[in-house]
Amino acid sequence: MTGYFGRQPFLLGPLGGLQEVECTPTVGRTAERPTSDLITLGGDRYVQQAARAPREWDLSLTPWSEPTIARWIAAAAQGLLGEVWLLDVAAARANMLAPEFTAGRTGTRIAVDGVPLCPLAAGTVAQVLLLPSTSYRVSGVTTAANSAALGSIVTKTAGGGTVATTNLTAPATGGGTARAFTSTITTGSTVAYATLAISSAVVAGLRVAQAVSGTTFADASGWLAGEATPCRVQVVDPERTLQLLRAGHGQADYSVTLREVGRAGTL
Amino acid sequence: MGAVSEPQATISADTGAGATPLEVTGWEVSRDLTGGALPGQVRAVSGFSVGTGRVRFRQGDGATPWRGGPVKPGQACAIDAAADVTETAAAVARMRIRAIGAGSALSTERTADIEDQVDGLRAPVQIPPTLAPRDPVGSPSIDAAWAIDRAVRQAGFRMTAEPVPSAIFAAHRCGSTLAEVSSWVDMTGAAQWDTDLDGRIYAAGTRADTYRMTSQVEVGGSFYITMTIANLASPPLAQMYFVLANGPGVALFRIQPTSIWISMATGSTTGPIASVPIALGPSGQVQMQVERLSATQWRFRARTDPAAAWSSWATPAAGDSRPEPVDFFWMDGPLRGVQIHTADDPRVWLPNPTARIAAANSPLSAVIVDGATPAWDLAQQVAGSTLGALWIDEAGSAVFRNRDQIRGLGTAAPASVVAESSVEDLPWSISSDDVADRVEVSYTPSDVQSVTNYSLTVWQSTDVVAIGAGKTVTIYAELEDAVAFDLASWLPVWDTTTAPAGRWSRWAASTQRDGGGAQPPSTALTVSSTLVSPSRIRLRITNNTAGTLYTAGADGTSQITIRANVVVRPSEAVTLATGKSAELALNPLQVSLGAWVQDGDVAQSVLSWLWGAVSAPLPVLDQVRVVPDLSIRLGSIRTLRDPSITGLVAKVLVVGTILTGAPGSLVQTLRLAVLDVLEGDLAALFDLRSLATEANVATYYTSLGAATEGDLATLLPAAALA
Repeated sequence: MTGYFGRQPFLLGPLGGLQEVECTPTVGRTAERPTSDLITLGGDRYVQQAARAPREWDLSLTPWSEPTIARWIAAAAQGLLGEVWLLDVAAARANMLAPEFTAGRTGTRIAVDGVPLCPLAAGTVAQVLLLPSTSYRVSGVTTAANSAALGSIVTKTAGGGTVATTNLTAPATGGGTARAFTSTITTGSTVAYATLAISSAVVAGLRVAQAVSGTTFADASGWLAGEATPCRVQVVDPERTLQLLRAGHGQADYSVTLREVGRAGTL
Repeated sequence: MGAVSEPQATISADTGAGATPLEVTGWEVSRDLTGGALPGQVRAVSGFSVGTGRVRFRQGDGATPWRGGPVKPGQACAIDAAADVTETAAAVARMRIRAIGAGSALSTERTADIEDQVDGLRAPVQIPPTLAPRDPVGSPSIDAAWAIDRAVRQAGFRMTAEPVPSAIFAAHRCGSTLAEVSSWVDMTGAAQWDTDLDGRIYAAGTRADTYRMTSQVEVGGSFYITMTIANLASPPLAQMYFVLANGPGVALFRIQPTSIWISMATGSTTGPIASVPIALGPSGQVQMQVERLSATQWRFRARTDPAAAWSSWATPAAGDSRPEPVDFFWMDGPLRGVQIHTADDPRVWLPNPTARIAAANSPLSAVIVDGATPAWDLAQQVAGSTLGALWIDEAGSAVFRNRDQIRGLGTAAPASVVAESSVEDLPWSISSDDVADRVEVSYTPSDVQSVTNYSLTVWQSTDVVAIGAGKTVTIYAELEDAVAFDLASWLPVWDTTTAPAGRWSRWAASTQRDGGGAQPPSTALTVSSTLVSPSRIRLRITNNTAGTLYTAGADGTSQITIRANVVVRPSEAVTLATGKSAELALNPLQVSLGAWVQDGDVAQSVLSWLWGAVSAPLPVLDQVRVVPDLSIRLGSIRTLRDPSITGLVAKVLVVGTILTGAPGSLVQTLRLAVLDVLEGDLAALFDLRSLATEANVATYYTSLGAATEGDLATLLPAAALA
């Protein structure tokens, strides 16, 4: 049921079975990165922070809804669905990769759409959950030689069987300078996730964007920050405010908090 | 470290399938140098530290916390950390899990207590009674660090590899040039031990030792020589000269860190050289394969890694003809862990030595150790007596630093820590408890009596023993405080032709208890004596006659006398003192160095050290939280500067470290002992300022702004450490 608000911005569910979540607009997302401060005798502040910032979403489901709207959420909260994944569609259209898989920390910086980023380490492997029968665009910037092999993206079924392999290669001209490479894949009906492996040491600004519909993407090119979606979440038991009870199911307002758990980029 | 950093830590446990990384929620490791019997500010002295820690990790393999998971007590646990993601990880701990527990049945979080592994060091130490050879000027040539090396070696903390089964010569040369395999023959040159750039002891000075291998090398034979070259800034040449028993040389090897040369003996000199370049790895080990091609030529090739290829052969020009087998050689130079072996044994390689033992700078004439002392206690005693510090470091090695290193003497200007930009706060305390107005140091030299004619009496029996016909009796002779070396053979008391009376071990026998009766034949008793422990001799007396014999002499008293060539006894303890006289002193400090300091000069230097440390109170800075710098470890020396708030400029020794890791946080807290400015520092200052005469010095003092001597006390140390 797509409902009044059109295609939903959030999908929730186990691997290979993501379902739309009907929610109202204004979904807040907060992130909490563990940090620690040290202020020296001279007043200099040094800050230490953790490598990741786990996020939290507060969703309010469509108001005055029947329990059918909340059955997925309740099942997930009880643990009946096993490991639950949340796909944030707005974030997926930007960049589905976790931030640590979009660029590295050391090395000569490469200008990626105006942003100077360090290249990824050769041998970086990231895993991304994908929807079946959907188009995705993998892009990045590289200073590798012409037509050099950069890596590959392998789509797989929920059981781990390979469906298709797409190689990523540097453009055929402009070797040695920073230029963008891009590759569009359309997943089959059995695809659940993909493994993206980068073998080159001079790739930065990696991006995996989900199509808006068909093969139309939200932008033509460029780099956006990694959003790590889909990610595993803990579904905190939903709150219900009962509004009306007549013949049939009660109608209530449901709200739920989803907390990111586990580590993005690995299954 | 940048102003915003991302600390990293990797913690793994050896679950039997290799190092398995753990998902850790928090960890902490703390290390401390405790001061034993000495006051707080000299904490570094007789330091002994076993680090402990705690790791909280997730073991999500099931609901019951008490079901043994893959991570169990007894497994090795390694922690590496970096203050920022762009820095290389440094070792923080190589410890063992002592206990694992969980706070709740519902929790998947486990807490493991970890501790440095020193179990092997609780076993009794095995050091045989050893007499130090004396160099031509009479100085004994064993350094007290040798005892520490022997003690920690038995738990696996080694600077040199153990002798391999095919070794025909092996000498560790870590405090003693005596050989483990084969025999030491003689030495020339002055005995001296020093510490190299890695903090390890090596044989310094002009000494050369002669050894005799356990088997000879014939023409056509081949062997391997494996050795470690000490890491020095300008290393002296090391030599190995193979010679014949009656003197003439055969083949000379010269060893340097960049190349090894060989030349054959020609007349009284050696001929042209053939050489091989070598590139030493971090462990400093190099191996040579040597072949005796003919009576006139040898050749060799070298490698510095068992997996690396051999160099090409170096074949020198032919020398004099020496067809005889060779088993003598002399050796000098900064070589450690030298082994000559006949088979290519991989166990001779030690790429990662697990000990760093400096020279204790305390020469010993004899080492006599009670066999029941645990190894760790012994190593601590030696460290404490020589005022060094002994601890297990962050990489799991045993580290011993001598008293000079602990005071920062001889280190190039230590790195600075500026309080304003690197330290959170400087809480300090000074106590008058830590001040002594009189220091007494007592040491026990060894009284070594040495003869060559077996005339030193070691023990005399008091009771008469009856031995039946054909029977053997065993008696244990307990020596009080003495150790005998080179026991004499046995003669009957009445035999004065083989040796004069008063020499050799003697036995007497008579057929009657009161000593009367016919004198039994000289073969009536067979006596043998063996040293079973440093102060215990086992006598076996066998009666070879057909009648009962009594060990009584003609006067009816027992006449069994054991004699030896060398007897070592502890002499009277000598006491040195400084400060107020004994009657007036209110807070005296008495330190007994025992038998680990036997030299008066060393005792005097220990006394000056202690006096400098306790005569005036020096602050201890505790709970100093610094911007994390993992190069600051236990035992590090830094110059702490605080120009703006306390005006402190001082050399400090890190006597305690606590590292705590949590999500997004790495906290390093130190305990620092302020060290005195030493004469060495002032000497370096005068050198730097080219102050050669008293007039120069006076001008300099005035330029510092000193009007009185009191001003100098504050201005000069600051200038020295600037």
